Amino acid sequence: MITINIANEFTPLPGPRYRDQGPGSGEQFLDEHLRPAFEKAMESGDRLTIQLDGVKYGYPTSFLEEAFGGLAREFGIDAVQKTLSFESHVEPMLNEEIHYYIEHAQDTRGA
Amino acid sequence: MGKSDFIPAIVFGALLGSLVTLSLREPQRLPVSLIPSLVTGMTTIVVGWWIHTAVRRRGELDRIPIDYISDLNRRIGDLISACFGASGDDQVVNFRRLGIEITGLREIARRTTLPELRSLEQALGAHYIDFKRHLTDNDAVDKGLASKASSEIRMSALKIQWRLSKHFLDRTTDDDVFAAR
Repeated sequence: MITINIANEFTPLPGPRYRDQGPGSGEQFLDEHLRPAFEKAMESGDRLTIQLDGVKYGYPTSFLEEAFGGLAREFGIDAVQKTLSFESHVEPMLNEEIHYYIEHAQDTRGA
Repeated sequence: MGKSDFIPAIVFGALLGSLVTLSLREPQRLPVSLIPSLVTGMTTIVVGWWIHTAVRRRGELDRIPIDYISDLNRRIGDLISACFGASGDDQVVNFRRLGIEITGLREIARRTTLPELRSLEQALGAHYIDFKRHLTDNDAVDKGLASKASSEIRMSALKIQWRLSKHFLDRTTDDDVFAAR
């Protein structure tokens, strides 16, 4: 199983949607961590677990949509749902929220 | 209500009845000097009974977690208002807290033996996501839709509270209220 701990490996302060909007963006996370790990997991047939706990304030919607919705737009909703799993003990609703962005990846942005 | 709850009422009624009967049949034997003491005594019985009943009812309500659900819903309402009034990190924190409170209410609803609560708690989760999205996602911000979603959160939470309270009151033990896990 491959894991990414967002707070430890990327930033404890997840930020906006795009790089040019500020540090810790969803776009940056997708490019530098999520996509490479996802491709690795797809190749090896492993699951990719995203550990969400540990960030200082929480997750802005734009960050989550750009990272996980963006991944689904690129690789397809089914592939992302089959490969990704999420862990959040502090905010159990995040799991459901992220799945919403994955399932609505085609129509969420710009809705 | 137990049989003992009626004793003060019976004593009070008996005393008052005796007094009225005596005053009608043999008014000359009426112990006028004792009337203030009798009235005081009867008032004491009435007040004592009323306090006893209130304390007992409070105890019954404390046994079932209706107040807990009310407090949870009040916090959800307060946090919705706080989300509207905040921005930046404060808003992210408020949404995190709101999500945690909503999760708490949904978890209680999920664990009951009331299947009709499933659709309500799922709707509550969906309204939360809508609310957060329409208030914070730059590409989907729409204050009108956020406001509508916030009203739906309040409505769903209230419906859950209503049905949970009724469910709690209708059952006598925790085993009947919550599903076995």
